[in-house]
Amino acid sequence: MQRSGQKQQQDDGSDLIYWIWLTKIPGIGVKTGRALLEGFGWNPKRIYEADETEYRGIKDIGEMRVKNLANNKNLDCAKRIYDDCVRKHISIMTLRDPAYPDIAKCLPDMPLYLYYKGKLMKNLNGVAIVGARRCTASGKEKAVKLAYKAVTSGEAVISGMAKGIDSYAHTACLKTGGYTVAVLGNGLDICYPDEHRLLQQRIEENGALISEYEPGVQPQKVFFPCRNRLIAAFSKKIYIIEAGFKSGALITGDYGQKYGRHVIEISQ
Amino acid sequence: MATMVRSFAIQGIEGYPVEIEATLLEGMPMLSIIGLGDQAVREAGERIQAAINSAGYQFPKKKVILSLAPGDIRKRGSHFDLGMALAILQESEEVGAKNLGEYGVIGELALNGSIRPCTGILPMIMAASKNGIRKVIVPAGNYKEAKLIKNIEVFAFGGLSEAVRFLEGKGVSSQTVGEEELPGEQNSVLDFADVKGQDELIDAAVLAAAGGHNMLMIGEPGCGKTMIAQRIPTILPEMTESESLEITKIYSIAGLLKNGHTLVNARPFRAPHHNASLNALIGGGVNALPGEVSLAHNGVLFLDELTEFSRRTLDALRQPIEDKKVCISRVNGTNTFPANFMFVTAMNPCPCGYYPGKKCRCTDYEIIKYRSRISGPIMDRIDVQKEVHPVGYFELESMASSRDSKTLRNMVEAARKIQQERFADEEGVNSNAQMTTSMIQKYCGMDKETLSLLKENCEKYSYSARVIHKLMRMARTSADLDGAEKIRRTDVERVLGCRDLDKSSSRMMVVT
Repeated sequence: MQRSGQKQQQDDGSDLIYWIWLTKIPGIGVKTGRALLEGFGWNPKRIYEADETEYRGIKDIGEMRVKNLANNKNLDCAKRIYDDCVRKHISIMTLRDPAYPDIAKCLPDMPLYLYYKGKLMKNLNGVAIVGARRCTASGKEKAVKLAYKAVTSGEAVISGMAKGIDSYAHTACLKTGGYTVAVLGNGLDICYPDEHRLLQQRIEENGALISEYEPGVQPQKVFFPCRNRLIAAFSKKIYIIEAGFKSGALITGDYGQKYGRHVIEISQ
Repeated sequence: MATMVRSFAIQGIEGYPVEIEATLLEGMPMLSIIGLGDQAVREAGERIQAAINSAGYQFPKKKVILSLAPGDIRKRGSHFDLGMALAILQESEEVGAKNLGEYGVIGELALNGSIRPCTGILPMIMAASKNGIRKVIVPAGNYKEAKLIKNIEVFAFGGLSEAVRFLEGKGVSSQTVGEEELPGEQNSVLDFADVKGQDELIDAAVLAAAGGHNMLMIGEPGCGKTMIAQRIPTILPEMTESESLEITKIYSIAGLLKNGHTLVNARPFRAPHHNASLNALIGGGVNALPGEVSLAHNGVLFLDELTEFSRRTLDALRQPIEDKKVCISRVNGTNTFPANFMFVTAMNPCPCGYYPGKKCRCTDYEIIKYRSRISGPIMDRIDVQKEVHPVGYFELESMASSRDSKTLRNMVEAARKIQQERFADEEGVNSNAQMTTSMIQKYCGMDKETLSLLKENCEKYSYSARVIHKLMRMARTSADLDGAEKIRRTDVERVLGCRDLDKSSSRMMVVT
């Protein structure tokens, strides 16, 4: 288990339980969460132990959130999630964790912590290759070539493990012995799409699986744009292959532009 | 003393003699039939009584016992009727037939006293011939089929009274319906000359036919897979008489003889729908009847849309493909049917059917999954895998047809002859496709350069040893087609083009 890079040594993960607790409180999102953590010296345990008056000291917090924080002191849910992670060999990296990729850490809207499996490289020199699920043969070829190129120049291939372009990029990378990261829109104990069961296993062995969703969460339509945001955040360069109008890959591109990434679109 | 009339019954595809005995006892007028008959045999009583009355004879007013011997084997069918009726009439001294015991009698009776044709005549007549019976009485409708066996005198009648009068020596001669020879069933409608623009595939079909290899065609819908498959029987060697008889026997039992019950002299082509049940394909039913594999004996079994067949059905094909026969066990006994067919099959390359065309949007995982519906052991038994590419309609117009079936058949026959000589000493092997590994080493010699070409390609597509053996066997056939002693470079080049599915699967971008 990755421990938070804080003062105390807490190998039992009790610190992580407070991180999980914090994000499970209604009304507390990435923004308020960050503000709270900054106000309490990045120690969520202190947030848990604080009272209403202390919460009111945080800027822009609002009375409703203060009440929510004060009235939700139950750690059961967080404990359950944490235990589930331990049982399923899923690790957690918080924003204070050195494992959290630097390229994403500095962005203001990154999740407070992420679930991951496999080996996480510290300096993720990553290229995203995303695109259509129903791609053409030439699209597949392009994805494979780009993945090979990335491997030879020592870059990690980042994608979403969806059907089509995503899977070809991951597979091509794995076949040449490269390092690849898959960002999922569901819990890491779930395989979606089902045909990628083996692929998911191989990525875990030779790369990393990342998700902001706790184990057991099924994929949902609304999760995928968030997943795409993470892909964009983790990569320095984004290739978009055969993306259709209003497709997820274009969302990745939009986020990429927002984060100042180099976005290259390859149409059919 | 009881009267005995000789008849026959069928087990599997073989007939065996049955003795019909009739005796009259004092007692209440009734009829009982013993000897493990089925429903059809039991109902014979009513038919016989009606037919005897209609023919103007008197049914005895005594207790009649009919026995079918041997009494411990189950018998089925309605073809005992005529024999039973004759036995009763003779026993009750209603008629005075001479030498009744010399005849084998087959025929179903109609209520009006006429004789109906029945199935399985050929194997029954063969059984007669084997058991030293020289004269048979058959329904007029079965005359032609019965005549296929030489050195048997066939008497055919359309009614009970004619048969009786003939046996009494009252000058009635055998009736033969449509005795003039019908022109033999010609297969001339189908010819490879009709196939245009698929030369490569025709080459593969010739290779498969020449070496006894099984064949798989992969192609998008409507590109000519079925058309080619239908024409494969036309290039297989001409059937020998014994082969012909064997098929006719199977068809006779299955009740599928057409054309006035003559000899089947064209190689069968069977194309069961993919909905076919296991029993329909392999054979079965209460009476263990031959299935499609046996009906395709000495011919071609074509399974279109191979991936749509249920896995269980397909896997049941393993044994007949290997052993060239099927064994079917049912309550009524175990039957063995021959099933020596050439296995030709077709499938689409992917779920949508258009891979690797532009239209196809299937992912590689979907394609692999689709292809894995066919189990490994079945794929293993298929040597030739050929992709079929569509030919544009307007290009077809201008294309000349390359070769007709006759030329191709000559090539196949020549190659088969070489193989027959080669495997004359090898037990149970008569074509290149059946070569064992040790035989491959013995017969598939090639020079260094050719071997390196093979090696290079096998490494490129990471072929397994098994696939390499297949390639060697096919290369041997290819050399035989040209009458070459050794496997040449061109042979290897040709057969490397016959593993399209392996090649295409090795290009799939999937983790393994």
